[in-house]
Amino acid sequence: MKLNIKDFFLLTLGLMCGIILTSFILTNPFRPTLILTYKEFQRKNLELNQLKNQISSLNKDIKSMEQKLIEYQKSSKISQNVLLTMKNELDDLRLFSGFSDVEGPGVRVIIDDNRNYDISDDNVLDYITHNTDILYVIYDLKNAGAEAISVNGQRIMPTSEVTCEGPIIKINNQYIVPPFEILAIGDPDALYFAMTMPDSKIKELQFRQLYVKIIKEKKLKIMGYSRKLIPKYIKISK
Amino acid sequence: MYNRSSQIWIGLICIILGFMVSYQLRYIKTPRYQYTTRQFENLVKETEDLKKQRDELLAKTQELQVKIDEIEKSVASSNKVASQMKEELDQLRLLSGLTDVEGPGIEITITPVNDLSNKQSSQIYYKDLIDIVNELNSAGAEAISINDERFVGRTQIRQAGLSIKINDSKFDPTQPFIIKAIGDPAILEGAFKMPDSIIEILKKIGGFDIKIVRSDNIKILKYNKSLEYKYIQRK
Repeated sequence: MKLNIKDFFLLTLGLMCGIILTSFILTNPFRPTLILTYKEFQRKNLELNQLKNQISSLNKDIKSMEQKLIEYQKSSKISQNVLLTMKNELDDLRLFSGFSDVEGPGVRVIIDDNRNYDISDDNVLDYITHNTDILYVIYDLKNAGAEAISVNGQRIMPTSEVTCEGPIIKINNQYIVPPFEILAIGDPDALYFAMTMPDSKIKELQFRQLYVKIIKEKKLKIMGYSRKLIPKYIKISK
Repeated sequence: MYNRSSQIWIGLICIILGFMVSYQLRYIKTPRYQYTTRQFENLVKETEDLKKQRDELLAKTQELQVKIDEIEKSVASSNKVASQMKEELDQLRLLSGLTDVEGPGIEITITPVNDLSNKQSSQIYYKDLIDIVNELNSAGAEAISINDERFVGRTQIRQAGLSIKINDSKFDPTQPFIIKAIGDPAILEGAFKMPDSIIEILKKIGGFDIKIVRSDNIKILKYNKSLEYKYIQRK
């Protein structure tokens, strides 16, 4: 076949294209560091923080355990010391777990639906207390340092849920109805301040024209969780 | 003549095309966050170190716990009051989140996506976490942790400046959050399948990579902050 200038030109063009393409790919080989994605970085960072947390908690544990051992072995009356330490720990735990009745200063928050509304009003749902309203009031109180909280006598436990069951609210699997009385033990001033902050849930409820009352109390009594919790799924890890 | 000039044009276009293709390839293969490369290496190294440290400490606590248990058992075996107290102590510790626990459950990972493909910045709000905990509890969760912070009776979940504070530990709301819960895995997962559940809402808003994984062995760490009270009076 005769090679004329036209075909030769096309051939060189094609070759050039190919050379440029491969050279670009070859001069940028994979480097191991290039595999990194942002997500992995985030993940590692989180892992690191969690490890730091665990280490500080372990350090604390070790300190308290060593303290305990010293206490246990201090005198010849080992059993007396052990009993005393166990008794103290049990007292702390009963308080922490929410099973015992407690007393202290705090605030009493009363929330009631607004019953003076026109049935044709479009905002009827705004005049009713919803489960999320109660939930966020509880967290506003907790976040302001409340140490014990109950809603209509239901103690808030780690496993407590606030759910909407149609027209009724359920806490700890028990039905509760308005008016809602929320008791919280903690610094009365701090709790009151948190309740009246402009972005608090209570302010929103007041704006929605619900009946709200906050009273500082010198002495409140909050009942402990009365039923037994029997864990079905959790086991102590070894 | 006309024929040749058109072929030159084709050739030119070929060159430009080749250029574009190879440039594109190169662009895809470069990392988007080049500056993190070195940081990442440091992170990996630091994590390894910390892991070693943690394992050593863990071994030490177990050793001490064995010693304490031995003494308590020896006293309990000779004393009825002590044995009752020991039983109640163990029970309360388990129920109130003061022991590491394990069991069947789910693990939810919510990752805010903040890369080039997502123009809006996305972050998690503390109220999302409160809603998730509430829904897990209503589905019967027996133990919950958020980023390994055990959820206990007095756990605070709140906005603190630009970060979210849980049990007084700070977390960056643009970083992933891992929520673990122990309970019936099917029920726990089912709680988030309702169209108005918080997970569905987050999915609708977009900007999150959400994964829910069932597992037969979820491990949840214990609460590790103080148990002290200031206002509650003992009765």
